[in-house]
Amino acid sequence: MVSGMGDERAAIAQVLRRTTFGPFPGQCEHLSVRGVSGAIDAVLSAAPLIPESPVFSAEQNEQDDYSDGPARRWLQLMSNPGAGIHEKMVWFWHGHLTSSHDKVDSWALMWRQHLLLREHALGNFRDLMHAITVDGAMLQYLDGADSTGDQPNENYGRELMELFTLGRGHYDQADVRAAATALAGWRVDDNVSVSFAQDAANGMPRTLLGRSVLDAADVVDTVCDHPGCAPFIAAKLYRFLTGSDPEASHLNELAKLFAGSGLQIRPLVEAIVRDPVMFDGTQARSRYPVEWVVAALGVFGIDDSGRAMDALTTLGQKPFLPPNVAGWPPGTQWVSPGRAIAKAALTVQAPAVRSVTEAADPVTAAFERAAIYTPSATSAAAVRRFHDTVGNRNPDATAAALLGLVVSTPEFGLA
Amino acid sequence: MNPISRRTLIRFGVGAGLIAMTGGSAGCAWPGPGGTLTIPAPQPAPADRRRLVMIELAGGCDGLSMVVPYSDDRYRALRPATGVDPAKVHRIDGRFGFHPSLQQLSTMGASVVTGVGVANPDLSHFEMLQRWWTGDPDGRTQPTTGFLGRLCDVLGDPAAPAVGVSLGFGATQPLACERVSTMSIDAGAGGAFPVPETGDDGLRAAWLAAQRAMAHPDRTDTAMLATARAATGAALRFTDIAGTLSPAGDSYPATDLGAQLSMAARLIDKDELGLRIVHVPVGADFDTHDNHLPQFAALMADLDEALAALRHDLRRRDIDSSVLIGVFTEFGRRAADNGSSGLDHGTASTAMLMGPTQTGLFGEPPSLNRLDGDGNLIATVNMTEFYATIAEAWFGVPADVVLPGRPTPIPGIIPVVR
Repeated sequence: MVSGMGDERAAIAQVLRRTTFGPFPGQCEHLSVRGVSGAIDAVLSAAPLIPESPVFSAEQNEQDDYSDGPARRWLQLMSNPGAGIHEKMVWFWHGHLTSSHDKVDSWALMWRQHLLLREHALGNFRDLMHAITVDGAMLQYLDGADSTGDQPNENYGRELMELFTLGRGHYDQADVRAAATALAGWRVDDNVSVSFAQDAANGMPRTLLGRSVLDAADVVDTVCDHPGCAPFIAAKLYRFLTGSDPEASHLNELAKLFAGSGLQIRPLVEAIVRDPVMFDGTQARSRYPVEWVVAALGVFGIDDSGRAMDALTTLGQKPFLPPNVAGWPPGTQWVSPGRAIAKAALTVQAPAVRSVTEAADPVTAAFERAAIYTPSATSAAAVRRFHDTVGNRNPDATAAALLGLVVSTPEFGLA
Repeated sequence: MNPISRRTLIRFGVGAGLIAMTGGSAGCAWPGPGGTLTIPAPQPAPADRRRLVMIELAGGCDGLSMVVPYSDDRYRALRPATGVDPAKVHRIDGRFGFHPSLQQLSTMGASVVTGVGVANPDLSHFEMLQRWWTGDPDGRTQPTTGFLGRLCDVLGDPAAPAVGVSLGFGATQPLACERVSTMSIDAGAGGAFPVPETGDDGLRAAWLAAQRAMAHPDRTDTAMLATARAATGAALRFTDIAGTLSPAGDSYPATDLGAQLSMAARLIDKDELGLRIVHVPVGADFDTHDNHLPQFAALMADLDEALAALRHDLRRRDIDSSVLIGVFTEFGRRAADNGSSGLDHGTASTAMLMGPTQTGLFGEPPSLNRLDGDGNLIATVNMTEFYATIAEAWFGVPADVVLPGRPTPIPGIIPVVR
């Protein structure tokens, strides 16, 4: 039933689901002349998108989804078919080096952090960690702001090691304490400018992970130099992109590559994206809501970031509002029963689009518009039966519902 | 020596050991929306009717602020910036009082268990949440199921649409089970399964038929595809019934927790679901590293209002005798202030049980003089003893069926029905 061409497009679709917020209609067909490796080249070499500046004002600061605001500006970039791996990595880092507007309470700070993540998304991990450690939003979110050497706040020091660089098992409470003490002394004032106050800092060296540290830069260098850092980041990125854990020997290779490059992010990303597991056709990864919503609206031809925000609210994943410092975990909760209901609430809004209404075979056209080239027999039969039951009686409503149905297939929820 | 008689004191006029009681002896005045009405705390319903609403205060809720050792000089010395004003607490006895914002709770009463924690605590949210979710106090056995999920497996009917429901989009670990259906859904998702808005009834029926067909397992499915299909199937079975829930109670606060507890009552009131346990992950953040006092007061005010509304709603529905309400957190906070007007991660905290329970203080309060090496409280009641109270004393499920280490229920909280 499936042609060789279908397989090629299916593999390209798989790559795009994992490395972008698409695929968007026609994209896989367009890239298929270049083959899978050409599609991967295109994703890796796409120029980073440059956001329009969002609008801030006092009253808008209270909202999280106003029309010119940061979240919708960002969703517009994700919806751009020209977006490549850089855009996906910005999202990855937001879920890894988390901050929430809920606590930071300043769009100016949140947007500044967003631009920081854009700048370093494919750059150097150590530079990224130096920058994020004294970023205003992060200082607010994990309480580095106003922490003093005399009475250090442990929040950032702990999460820096537990969630951002090493993982549990590499440090103890004395290390948390030492990191917190050395990190102290930073301030974020009412005009959202960040400064360091020597008199609030510690000034005495502490021992962190066996090394003497005096200040935030020492702490970041110490955790980045730790042998646990490269494998921790490599494993998390591999899981994020592929949905599965790397084999121990493979992780070892990736970590070696990452550490050997001086923690350059791009070579690590390229090594994972070029791994055949990226396009072998196994749907091992659920689409996160933000990926699902942007792709679904793309299939529907709806350019409306407000509608995207509404859907993301009910699906429980809004940009700039991670649920906690661990971000959005991987796993099967993204395809939970509750989310199946929330997704159906969006798919029933599918419109009748011409590429489906005018197709000789609307069912195949709907699947292809959603970049599902090799649907399961169960899903294909269910959609075909729907069409055969109502198609002749009410072509436009059927075409709209067909597109909604293919977007509700379990296949569309996976990558 | 029996560890219970040594460690667990009941200090509210009730002797140690399981007690039998009548409804009247646990009675209290409940201020209702239309004035104060006095309702006796109900006698527990027969075991097969019993349900649980388990409220999770994630982020690390400070037990010493929720139930304050207000007369302890050491408390005030440790917490110059975050201590609760002793004059404003709602006194339980000469030593402890509810947080000033827990005004309705102080009237309606609760079984307060102080010093709940584990023997070898960890200061990571995620590690400790995992231990609480899986009922694995030391993080050693690492079961794949959750404590609440194992209870659902014992209590529930495999044919029931939802034996356990988690009202949130957080992790599904607490209700992970092997035998019955449990699911997490949004508190707003109480209605029927969405269908296209068209006047064509045939199209709507065909749409639902297609959704059902796609939810049917396919032998060629990968594990993830099978999970996704099963989720749609569970959603359809759930919405087939949840589309006809009774109306919401009207006194809930317009907050996420209010919406969650309102939905919890509606779901429990729907027998056809076969529901036994509702898990309520509170979205508000109890991780008060800074600015503790105002943040905590707001958190408690929301909790107080939502809990009171739930208890009134359960009473109105005449199911108050069959619903136990539990409140827990993954850990408490450091004994001393951190210098940012906040409190860093700690260990033991305070848990509560409400409904048809004996009110008062249970467990031995943790010492503020004898702290561990990190300046944290030393737990006096193990997490598994709190859980055993729910499993064994409430549900009649022997604790060792669902928990490691043969824990014993805390005596005196759940009245024995004669």
